[in-house]
Amino acid sequence: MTETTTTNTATEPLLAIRDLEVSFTAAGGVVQAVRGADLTIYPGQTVAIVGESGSGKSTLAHAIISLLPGTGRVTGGSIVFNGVEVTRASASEIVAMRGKQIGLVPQDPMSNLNPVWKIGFQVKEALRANGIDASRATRSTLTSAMLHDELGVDVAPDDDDLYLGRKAKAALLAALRTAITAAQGAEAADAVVDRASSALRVGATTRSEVLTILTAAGLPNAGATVASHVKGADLTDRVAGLLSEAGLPDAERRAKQYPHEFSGGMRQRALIAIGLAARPQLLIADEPTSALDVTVQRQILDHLNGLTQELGTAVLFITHDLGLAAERAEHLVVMYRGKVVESGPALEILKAPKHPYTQRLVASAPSLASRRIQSAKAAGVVATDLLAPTAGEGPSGTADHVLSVANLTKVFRLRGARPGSHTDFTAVDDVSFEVQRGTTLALVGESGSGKSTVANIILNLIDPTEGKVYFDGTDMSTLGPKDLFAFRRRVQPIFQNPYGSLDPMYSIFRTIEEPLRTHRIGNKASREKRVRELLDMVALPQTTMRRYPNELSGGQRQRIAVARALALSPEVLVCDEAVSALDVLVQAQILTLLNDLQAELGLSYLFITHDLAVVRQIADRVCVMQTGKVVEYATTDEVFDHPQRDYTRELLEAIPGSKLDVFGNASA
Amino acid sequence: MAWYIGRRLLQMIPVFLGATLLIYFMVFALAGDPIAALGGERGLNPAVAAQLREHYHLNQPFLVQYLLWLKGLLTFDFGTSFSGRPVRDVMAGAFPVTIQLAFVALFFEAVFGIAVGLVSGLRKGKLFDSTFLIVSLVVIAVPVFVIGFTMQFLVGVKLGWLPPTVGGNVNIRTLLMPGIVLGSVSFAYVLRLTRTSVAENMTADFVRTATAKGLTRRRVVTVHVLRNSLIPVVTFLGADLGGLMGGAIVTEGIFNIPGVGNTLYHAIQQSEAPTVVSMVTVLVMVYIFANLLVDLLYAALDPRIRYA
Repeated sequence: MTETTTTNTATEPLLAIRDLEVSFTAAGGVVQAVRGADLTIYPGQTVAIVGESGSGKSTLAHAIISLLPGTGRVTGGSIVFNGVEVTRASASEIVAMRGKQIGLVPQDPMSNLNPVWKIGFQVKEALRANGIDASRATRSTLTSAMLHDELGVDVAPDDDDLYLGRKAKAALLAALRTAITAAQGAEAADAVVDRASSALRVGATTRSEVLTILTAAGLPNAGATVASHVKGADLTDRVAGLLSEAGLPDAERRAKQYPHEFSGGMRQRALIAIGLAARPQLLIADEPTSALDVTVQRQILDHLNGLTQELGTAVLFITHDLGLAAERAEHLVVMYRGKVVESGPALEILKAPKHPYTQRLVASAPSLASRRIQSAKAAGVVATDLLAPTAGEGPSGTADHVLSVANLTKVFRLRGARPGSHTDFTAVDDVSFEVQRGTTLALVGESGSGKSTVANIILNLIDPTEGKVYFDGTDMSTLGPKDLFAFRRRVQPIFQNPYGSLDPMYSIFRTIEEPLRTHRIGNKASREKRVRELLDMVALPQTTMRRYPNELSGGQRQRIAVARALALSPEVLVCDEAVSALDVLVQAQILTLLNDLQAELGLSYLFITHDLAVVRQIADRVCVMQTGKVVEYATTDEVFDHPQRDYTRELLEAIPGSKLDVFGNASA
Repeated sequence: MAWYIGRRLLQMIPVFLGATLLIYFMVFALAGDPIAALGGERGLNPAVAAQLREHYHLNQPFLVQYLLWLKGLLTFDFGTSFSGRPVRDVMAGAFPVTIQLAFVALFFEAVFGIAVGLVSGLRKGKLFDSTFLIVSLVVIAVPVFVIGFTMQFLVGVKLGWLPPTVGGNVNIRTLLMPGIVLGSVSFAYVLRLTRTSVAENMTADFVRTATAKGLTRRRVVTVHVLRNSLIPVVTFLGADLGGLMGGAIVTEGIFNIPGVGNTLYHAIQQSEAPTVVSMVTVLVMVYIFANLLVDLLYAALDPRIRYA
C-alpha cells in the first residue's frame, strides 16, 4: 500500500515501518501480536491506527520506541525513523531518541504519572534528560528545515526566541503598573495589569510576543524595557510554560502539586506537556483520552491538535474509536489481529470501506444518526412462561412505573482538617424520575455528576439522605431485612468492568448459579438446567460453564454478567456503564442482546452511561445529570433533536464523529 | 497533622495503663514467694523476711502495690530490685547496649536487604534472584539460635575473625556478629519485600512513561522505581525497630550480651516485679513511638497519605 495523503509527498518519510512482526513468548508458546504491518508517516502528518483491543495497535506503537512490555520482541521487518533502523539501534541510541525525537502520550492518565513526585519535577525531568535549552523557544526540526530550504541559510538563534522568566514578568508588570497609574490612575492600572498578567505566560511567551502584549497594554518605550528584562527562562519557568501550553490553567502553582491533586483531564494535560517537552518530531498518542469524559476529551484533543500543528509535529494517533480517528487524522490505518487490513485517507475509508472488518466497524460505530435498535424478536414475542415476569403482572396494579424516584438527595460528610470539622458534599440533589415497565431510561452525565450514586441508592447499597425510591409502588425505605432480600431478586445490577465484577476463582457455572443458591431456588439439577438456559439466552455455548473468567474475552465476560443478572428473573436491570469498557463491535453486540432480552422478557433498564451515542441506541427516555441535579428529562428523540440545555448540547457535540458527514448520511 | 500527632499521643495513655496493669498482674500471679526464694536452702529470719515484705509492699493487696508503683513512676522512681540496685540504674545499664545492638541489626537488614532485593527485583527469575530467594528461605526457616550458635562456632571460634562473646566489652566490633544474627530474619523479609515491590513497579505505567521521556535506565530505577518500592519496606523496618529493641533474649543469651533481653530474662526468673514491669513498660512505649514514627514516615514518603 503506497499512499500519501499529505502535501509532503516529495519529502522523505519520517517513519517507515515495513513487514513488522512482533511476538510475545508466553507459557503456551509464541504469540504473534503484530504480523507484517506496514506504516508510513511523513513529517507533520497525523496518522491514526484504529482497531479493537488485542489488534496489535499499541504493540506496534511501543515497538517504535522500543518499549515492548515483558517478553515482547521484534521478530522481523524494519522500523526506519529519520533514516535510523530502530530495530538494530543500540540501547544508548534508543535512549537518545526517546523524548527528544519521539514523544509518547500514554493511555491512562491515572497510572502514568509517578504518584510520589510533583508534577513539575516530572516535567522537568523530560527537559533535563534531553538536554533542552529552557531559555528559548526551540524551533521544531520541520520549521528549521523549511527555513533552511527557503532561505538557504542557517538561522542563528534569535533573542526574540527568549522566554519570559517569572522574575522578568513581575518586574515588567510593576513597570506597567507605574506607567499606567501615572497616566490613567490606579483603578485603570489594576485592570490593565490583570489583563497583561494573564496574557503573559511564564516560560511560554517569547520576547517578541511580550513586546506585542505590553505595547498593546500601553507601556511607553516598551521595546527597551522588554529587551532589558526578558533574558530567558530557567527550567522551573519553562516547566510552567510547557504546562500552560498544554492548557493547564495557573501552571506555576500547579507544577508544585502532586498527581493525586489533579483531575484526570489535568493529568492528561501534564502528560501532553511531558510528551512535547523536548519538541519531538513524532508524537505517539496512545488512546490519550479514552479514560476521560467526552467533553474533556474534546477539549484536550482540540488543544493537542492545535499544539502539534503549530509545532509541526507528526502524530501517530492510536484509538479504538473510528469516529474519533476520522475526526482527528487525515490518514487512517485499520488493524485487525496484528495485520494492517486497510489504509488510506480517513474520509475515503469511512465512505467506502473495503475490508469486511472495516465495513463492520463503520456499520457498528455508534453516532448521533443511529436510531434505537429494533429488536428482531420484538414482533412475535414467544417467551417461555417460566422466564417471563412480563408487563402487567405487577402485584400492586401500578403497572406503569416499575421504578420511581422522588426528590432523591444524598449528602456525603467529608472529614475536615480539624477534629469535628466537616464539609457537606451533595452528590445527588433533588433527583426525581420514573422508569416505565418494559422500557429503558438512560441516566447520562460526566463523571462526578452523581449518576452512580443514584444507582447505588436504587440498588439499596447506600441510603439516601432524603427522598424515596418506589419499586412497584412500594416505598423501599420501609422494607425490613426479609423484604429487602426479596427485593434484591427483582432488581439486579450489571457493572462496568467485566474484568472486575466476576470472581476469578469461581467457574462460570458457579458465578451464574450463586444467586440461585443464595435465594434457595430449585435443586441442583434444576439450577444447572437454568444456568444452561441462561447461557443460551446470552448466546454463549453451554460448555462455557466449565470455564473461568480469565479464559474469556471482555465481551464474553459481560455476557456472563448479563446471564448472572438474569438468573433470578429480575424485573429491572441497573446497568452501570455496562458497555463503556468494551470495543465498539462488542458494544453493539451486547446492546443488541440487552435489547432482545428486553423485548423477550419485558425487562426494564436503568442505563447509566456517559456515552450519548450509546444512549441513542438503547434508551426510550433520557435523564441528563450535572453536578447532582437533573438538568434535562425527556424522551430520547427530544433530547437529541431539541436539547434544551447548553450542557446537553455540549455533551452531544462532544460525541466523536458528530461533525462528520459520513455518519450523518448513513442513517439506519 | 498536629491534631493527628496529638490524638495519637493521647491514645498512649490508656495503652500505657492497660499494659502496665496487665504486666503487673501477671508478675504478681507468678507462682512462688520471691522473698522465701531469696533465703535459699536455709531460709530467712522471719523478722528480716517481714521487713523485706514491708519494704517491697508485698504484704499489700495487688491493686495497692500497683498504685504505689505508679506513684513512684511520677517521680521517675521505678523502685529497687531485690539486689538493692535502683531499677533506674539497671535500665540505664541495659538499654544502651540493646540500642546499639538493635541499630547494628537494623543497619545490616536495611542496607543489605534493600540492595539485594533491588538487584533481585530487576533480574527476576535470573540466577542471582533464584540464589537469594533460596538463601532467604533458609534464613527464615532455620531458628535464630541455630544461626547464632553456628556463626559463633565458625566465625568466632574456628576462624577467630570476630570475638565469639560480648560480655562486658560492648563495642561495634563485638556487636557485629550478634547484630547480623539478630537482623538475619528481617533481612530475608526486607529482601523479599523489596524484590516483589521493585518487580511490580518495573511494570508500572509511570515507569514506562519515564522511560519514554528519554531517561536513562539508571535514573528510571533510582528515581521512579526505588522510591516507590521503599514505601512498604520502610514501614516494615520501622515496625521492626520496635521489636528489635526488646526482643533479643535468644541472641543476647547466646552471645552473653548484658542488654535488655538478658536482664529481663533474669528478672522474670526471680519474680522481680518492679524490674520486669518497668522494663516492659519502657518497651511498650518504645513500640508505640516506633509505630507513630512509621505512620509519619509513611506520610513523608507517600504524598497521597495525609493524616487529619
